[in-house]
Amino acid sequence: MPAPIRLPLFTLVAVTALCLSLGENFPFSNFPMYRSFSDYSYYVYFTDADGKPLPIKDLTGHRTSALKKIYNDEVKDTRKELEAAGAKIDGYQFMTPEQRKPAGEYTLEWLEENAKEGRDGWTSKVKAPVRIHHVDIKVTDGKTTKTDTVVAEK
Amino acid sequence: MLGQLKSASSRLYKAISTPVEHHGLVEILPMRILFAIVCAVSIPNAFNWDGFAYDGQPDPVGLAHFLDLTFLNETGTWTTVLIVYWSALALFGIGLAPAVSATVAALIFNLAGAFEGSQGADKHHLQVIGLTLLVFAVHYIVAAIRAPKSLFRPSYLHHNLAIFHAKQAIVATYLVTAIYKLWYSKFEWIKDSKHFPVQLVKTRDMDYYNSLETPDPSNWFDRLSPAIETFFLNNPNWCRFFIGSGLLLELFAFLALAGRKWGLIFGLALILFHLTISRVMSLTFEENILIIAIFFVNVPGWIHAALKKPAL
Repeated sequence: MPAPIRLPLFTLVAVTALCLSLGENFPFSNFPMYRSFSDYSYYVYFTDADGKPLPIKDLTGHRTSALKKIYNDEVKDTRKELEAAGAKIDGYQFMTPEQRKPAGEYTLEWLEENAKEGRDGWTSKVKAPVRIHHVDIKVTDGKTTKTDTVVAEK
Repeated sequence: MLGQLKSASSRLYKAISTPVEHHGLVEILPMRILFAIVCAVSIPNAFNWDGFAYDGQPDPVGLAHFLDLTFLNETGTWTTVLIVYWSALALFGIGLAPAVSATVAALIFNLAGAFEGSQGADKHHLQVIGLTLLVFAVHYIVAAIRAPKSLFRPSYLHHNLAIFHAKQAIVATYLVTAIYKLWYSKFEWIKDSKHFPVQLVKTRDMDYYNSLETPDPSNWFDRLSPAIETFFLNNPNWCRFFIGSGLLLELFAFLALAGRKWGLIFGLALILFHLTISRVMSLTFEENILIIAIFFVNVPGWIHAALKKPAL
């Protein structure tokens, strides 16, 4: 067998450089999941008018993790707007429920209009209004504490 | 000065060069066909002839910056797109006109992926397919430009080099995620990973609110999960060790390009890594697992090698 040819790993270098420089631009990505850790995190979930949790993936086809990303993007935008207006916000955990409200309203509206196939009109199957909850998780001295706040309803 | 520059660039060229592994046609063909099948079933909205159901692209990514992709919502259009896509993949799988078929498949997959990702919740399980298809397309286009005769039926050399480039694209996705984690956290990622249990709590709760299913007491992992959280909370160094080993695996995943054996070792390690994440974090990366199994674990290649080996 002839000796194998040697070639530089240009594709490895090029794809790595493009992904890191272009960021989130499908199919390029810097894969930001779990890019940092802190003692704080949060998630969102949904309830009906009676406060009963809704199985949101079964109802809409969207997972809570995907809905959190949509909500989180809006929270980020709100934070940027507030900071541009002169407010000082040290971290997302310090935003008030009122400041998070537009993100909650946007997520509820998006969810109503973008249920996956065969699930249109899912809101008619639940007792209105649907509420979005924001749950802060914090670790202090090896123990986790959670704080649950209603952000918006529709 | 010029001489020194030439010498430095020559050294760099050698440093990032590696022997191109010979894959027999019995490996290349299954690799391409299996990859084409993974692409066929992984495209967003596959098997739904009605088209997408998004009323816009509120958070555009990729091609959605330049194109209004809502035309993919139209039933007739999407049905046609799917048929063209699957036809292109069938041709690509058997190695016919890959400069055209891989390009069409890459374009359609990346359009659909960009539309899905433009809804504000970009997921990260499809990029590896989009990038690998793109690299295949670029390779075969360049090959067709250099040797127009290879447009319809490229030679073995072109097909073998295509695998060489595709593997690099796959490995690059792991390298990127490791570099970005280190850069973003200012190299404190491993130190901060002691906070990982917060993510475990978050994931477990979010899972519950998907379907309101309570943990199954007969399932050993459901029983073990709270114990893992408590253990990591009380033993931050063990937490750093387990989480940090995942980062090192991603950072050194490029060693999978160092030959068939290294490919197998890193391939199996990365599959185990994904299976663990899938179990612990509910983040499934089935596409990554399949692609690594196809290109790095490469079962047909090992069977072929075993059969070829003369008996002692």
